[in-house]
Amino acid sequence: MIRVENLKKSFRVHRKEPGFVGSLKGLINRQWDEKLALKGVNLEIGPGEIVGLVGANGAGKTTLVKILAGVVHPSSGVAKVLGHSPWERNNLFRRQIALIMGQKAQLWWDLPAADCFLLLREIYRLPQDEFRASLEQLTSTLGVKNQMNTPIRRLSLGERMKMELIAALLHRPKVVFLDEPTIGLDLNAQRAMREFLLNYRLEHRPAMILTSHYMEDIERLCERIIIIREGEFVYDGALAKVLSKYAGHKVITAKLGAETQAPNLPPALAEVISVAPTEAKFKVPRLKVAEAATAILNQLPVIDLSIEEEDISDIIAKLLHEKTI
Amino acid sequence: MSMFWVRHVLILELKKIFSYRVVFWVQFFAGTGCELAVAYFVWKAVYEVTGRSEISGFTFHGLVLYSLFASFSAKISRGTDRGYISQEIYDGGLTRYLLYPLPFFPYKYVTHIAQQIMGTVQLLIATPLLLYVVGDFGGQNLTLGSFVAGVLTCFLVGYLHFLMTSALELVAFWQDVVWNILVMLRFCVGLLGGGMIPLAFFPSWAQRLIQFTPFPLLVSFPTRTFLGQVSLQEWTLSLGLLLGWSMIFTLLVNWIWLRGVKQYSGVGV
Repeated sequence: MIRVENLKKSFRVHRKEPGFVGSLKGLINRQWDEKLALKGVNLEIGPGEIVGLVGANGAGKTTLVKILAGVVHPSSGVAKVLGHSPWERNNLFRRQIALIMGQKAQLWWDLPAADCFLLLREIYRLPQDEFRASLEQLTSTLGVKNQMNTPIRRLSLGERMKMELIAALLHRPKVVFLDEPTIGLDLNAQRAMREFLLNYRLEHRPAMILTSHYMEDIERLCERIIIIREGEFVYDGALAKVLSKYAGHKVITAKLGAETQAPNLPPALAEVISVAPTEAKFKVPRLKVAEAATAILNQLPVIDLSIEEEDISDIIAKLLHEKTI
Repeated sequence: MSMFWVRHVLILELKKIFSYRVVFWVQFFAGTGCELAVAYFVWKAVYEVTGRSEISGFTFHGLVLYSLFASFSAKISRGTDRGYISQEIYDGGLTRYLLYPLPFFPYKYVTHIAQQIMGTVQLLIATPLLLYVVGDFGGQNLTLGSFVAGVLTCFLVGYLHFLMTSALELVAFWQDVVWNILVMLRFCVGLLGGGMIPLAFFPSWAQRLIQFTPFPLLVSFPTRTFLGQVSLQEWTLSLGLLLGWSMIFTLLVNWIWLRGVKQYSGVGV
């Protein structure tokens, strides 16, 4: 559904020197910098796949999403979405995609959501029955039926994002781009958005690209992730593989039956993360989990023991800063 | 290309315009009202000081009527020249028009027409009021027919005005601030289009030069149509000129758009 080959994008940015003298210089002799946002990336995404695009600020995530949605022209390379070059903005292409940006409202600010949706029905030429059924399902699932007649600018961020999501999915797109869709939302709203997206995926099997700084979004929604650093993909593969390959440790949590001192374990076997009166946490090398668990059980009055993977956000953060993966 | 959305957009825009009642009446009283009051007192003083009953074919009352129709012709023809397009390029609002299967310029033109309708409604309120105050037509051939023809002309020249404004607004793809260019355009339309004073007041060489620009078509042409000063032959000829200029600006806007949109990065607040 999405195929990208050697895609590059550079931006020309005006270099502004600080201060008044710098501004005056800019009037006469303007200096420009070339910023390479994408340095030749390759990608293929099939139907029903949700791919998480992970990277630091300015890594090129949003640029890639905007190119694939047809908003930005690439400098060179090939990108095909549903067989179309996105930047040609063919109407057939635009009828089958959606872009949701958490930081940018797409809906008409002054209009109530109901009017926006009616306008979108005309724009996408949705049959009346299909439109009603879609709208009914989306508004009741997201719980925004009562806000339909409020102008978009008067809605809370969470409500607005839900309306944006409805607007983007009304025409049942085959490709959905989600650029930080849960940014600024409270935990309940984030959870509702995630559940909704998973259901949408089950029902319609679209290809989705998700960028998010919330690792929980990535963890809950994506089986595959792409890590992008300074315009280059440094990892493209299964999320589970990142965990098994790059998480060198596991975390053992022991619930204690009585207050006790920290056990005397060799540092090569287990590193104490925290010790509370009734709980102790250890970071243990993956290959020594069994050995460490036995030692903990022998030395402490354990009533319950759990072994978990390292926090994914820690692993990704580590990967984002490592030179090579 | 499907245009199912046109009626819907037009209705929505009109709903928006007429729901902002304060803006509507402020524009009416503070904009047109002040403009007319200034014209009334300035021309009154001019006629009194010079002691003339007619200047370049205009009596005092005729000139006041000219000012009313020039003000509304400009208002109706310019529709939405408030920098909305450049603002959307600047703040990333353009993104929605690139995403939705919606032609950008036809959409914007429909919103322009909605503003033209608002201007026409204001004209319908202002004309009887002013005629009541002035008391006569000041020697002008204002009739119901010329009034209808004037409104129609305003809508037709509105397309050219829309294109000229759009061409300048698209500069926002390269330049952050374009409001100053738009102010210059409005000034040129006011002065060279006959919005500030009738073109008949200019020296004949200047009048000849101005005819080579599109500006007289924007204000002077519809204003004179309102006042019954344009024969059918002149009206048809002017319409031909309007068509020619519109074609030139359509090509220009298209040319700038195709280049500009490649620069667009969709960033903004």
